[in-house]
Amino acid sequence: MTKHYGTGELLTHAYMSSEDAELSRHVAECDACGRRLAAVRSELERHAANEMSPEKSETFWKRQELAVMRAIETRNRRALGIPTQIAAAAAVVFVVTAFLAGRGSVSSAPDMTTSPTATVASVETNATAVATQENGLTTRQITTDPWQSEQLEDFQNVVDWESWVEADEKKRGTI
Amino acid sequence: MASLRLITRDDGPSDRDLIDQTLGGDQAGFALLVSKYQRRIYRMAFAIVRNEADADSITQDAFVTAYVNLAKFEGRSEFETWLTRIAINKCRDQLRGRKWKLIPIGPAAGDDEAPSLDVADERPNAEREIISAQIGQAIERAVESLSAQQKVIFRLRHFEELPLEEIATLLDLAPGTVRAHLFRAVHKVRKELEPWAAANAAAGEAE
Ligand SMILES: [Zn+2]
Repeated sequence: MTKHYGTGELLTHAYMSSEDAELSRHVAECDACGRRLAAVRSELERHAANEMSPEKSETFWKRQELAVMRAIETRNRRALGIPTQIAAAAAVVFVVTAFLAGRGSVSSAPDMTTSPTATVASVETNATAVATQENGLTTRQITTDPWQSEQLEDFQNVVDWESWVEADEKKRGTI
Repeated sequence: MASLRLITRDDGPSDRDLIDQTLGGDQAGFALLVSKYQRRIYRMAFAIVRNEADADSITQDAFVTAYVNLAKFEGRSEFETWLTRIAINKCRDQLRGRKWKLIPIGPAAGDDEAPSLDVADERPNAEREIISAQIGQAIERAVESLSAQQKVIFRLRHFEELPLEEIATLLDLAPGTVRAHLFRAVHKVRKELEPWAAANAAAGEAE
């Protein structure tokens, strides 16, 4: 009696795109197994198709796009807002230091733009400014993490990522 | 003239153009990237996390992360591949953190009520219905016991029908590693099919 293949073996064959020559030859010659392999494949496709997400409307896609762009805009505003205060503090520190050193020259605060490159740079400026401030003046310290503030709660994932970058940079000793 | 128009229509800004536009400070470029890839990313996220709200949120999150890291994108892979990797990582994180609900358990091995798959049955519809019931239930039960990584691989293969090599590229894994994970996942599905396999074997012997 010819050995037929079980559904499990046919299932593995269907998923793994296996090159089992014996199985391939058998299913090509055996009607029962060939029929069952076709049924397994077709059932896998049917199951996958039935479990797909329902078709979404154009409104859904537009809303999603707007949500992404709004999150980016909010993030950029935050990058411009919070670090601007720090950058202003850094500028003050620089002016005071320059004045005390008798140089008397004045430098403007770092330019802040909203491009992703500038955003990364502004975060680094932020960290540097805090370090300078701590080293130069002991009167004012920033002890809270702005990423963890209530206002930024909705952007927890981004905050997590930023924290990860910071931790990584700390490891490399750049912060 | 017609062919010239066709070329003009298809010759929209490349992903690199849109990335450069974004890095230059014009977010309209990024909005075009979102609009171009959001359907694919959502579809893939849904295939993995199996929940519309999560898929939506992961899609949005993936784009924001891509935007934040855009300056680091070096173009060693396609932007789409890079973006898909970001989304898959988020899906995996989501699966790792998720409490899965238990799926009601179907017939156990040796259960008398397990439907038998009679290979000698000449009624294609009856056979088809049995296979259908077996596979659907087996997949749903088996997937619950997979690791997050195995779930990602299995679902990309099952729902998106991606070739193993493409899954390997997306996950940045060796094809052999993906094959091993998928094999373990399929093995679990097969374990769930054992009640029917046993009945099938009995039917075969009786033939
Ligand atoms: Zn056979």
